Amino acid sequence: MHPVQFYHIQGRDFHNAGRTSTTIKRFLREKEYPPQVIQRVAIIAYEAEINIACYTDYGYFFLYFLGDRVRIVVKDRGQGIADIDQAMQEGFSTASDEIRKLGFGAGMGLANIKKNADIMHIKSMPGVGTVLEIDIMVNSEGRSESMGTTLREIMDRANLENLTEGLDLATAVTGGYAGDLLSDVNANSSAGNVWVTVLTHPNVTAVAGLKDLAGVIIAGGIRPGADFVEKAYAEKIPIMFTEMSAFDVVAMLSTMGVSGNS
Amino acid sequence: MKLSEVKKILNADVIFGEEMIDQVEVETAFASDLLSDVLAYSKENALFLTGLTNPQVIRTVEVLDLVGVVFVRGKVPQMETVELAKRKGIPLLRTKCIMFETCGRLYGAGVKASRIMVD
Repeated sequence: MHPVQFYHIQGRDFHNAGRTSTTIKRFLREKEYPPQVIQRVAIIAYEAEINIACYTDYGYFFLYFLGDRVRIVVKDRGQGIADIDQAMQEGFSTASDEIRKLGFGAGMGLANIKKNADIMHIKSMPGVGTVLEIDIMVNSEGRSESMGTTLREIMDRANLENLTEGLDLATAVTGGYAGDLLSDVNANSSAGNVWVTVLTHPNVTAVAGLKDLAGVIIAGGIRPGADFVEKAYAEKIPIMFTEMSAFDVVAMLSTMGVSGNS
Repeated sequence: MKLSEVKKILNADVIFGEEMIDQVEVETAFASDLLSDVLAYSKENALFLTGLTNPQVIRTVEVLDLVGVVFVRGKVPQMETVELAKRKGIPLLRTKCIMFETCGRLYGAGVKASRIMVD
């Protein structure tokens, strides 16, 4: 794993704090990351930068571009954090008046970082410094409301055959579930999921309706009968059909940012 | 509404960006004197109402893609703040209204909250 970008941040320098975060933001824009990923990275970097400016002599950002995520590692040389659990609580702060006058120091920084991170690890040694490792998943953005993948996008991308012409395909899916055992899908799928199955029994639509699923993709090439389609219309569950194997459908969904519930 | 309308409603001075105020569109606003709260809760494209005057105000605007700043309670931004706003092309207004009055007037004129409530 090679750091793609490396930044040095001066401590005890309130005036320039935030400069590196906006540089990173510009850089991610050039790389055409989704706007929501960019904003989360920028907020994380900015709060981390303020912490370096407030509490340390100097620090570094390492920015890694991994396949499915952006990773920021923040290392500083400073006073460290004595009690991390305490520091993570909203409202806990050791900030000076000077920091508070800037509009920071209300004990929100680490909490804000955590809120915007998908994964966060923190290690600190009092009197030496702190290391933060933060991952922002790029694909998870595909599940958020405003950027969610819709059934129509899935259908178009994978050339699925729409068996229920006229039903709404515009809602974003909340994730996916694959299974050929009705009781399993009933137990473990979540509302708004797209369900991938090889089953063609009309009860599939009943389970999909009961669980409020977004739609069903029938994989494997066995075409459901007319009674199935009729029930699907009654339940208002969009049904799509493909010759692709269930495995390939799931793999394709994954590349579109649709992921599982666990 | 346009930022020029905001200027009128708040009887505000334009500190920087006179040539932009007829273009910049204001639909939502976020008012706070705590930058971490703005970072935590504001959404992009909001107008930022604050009594803070330091350059971090501009950094925050940049990080969140906000559309501009109104300094309330007659606060005058620091020179470094204005310099930074000029470099980044961020319009700055100043009103003598207190925060409550500023919010009230804008809300009455149809500007909505950037976020209604926190989770």
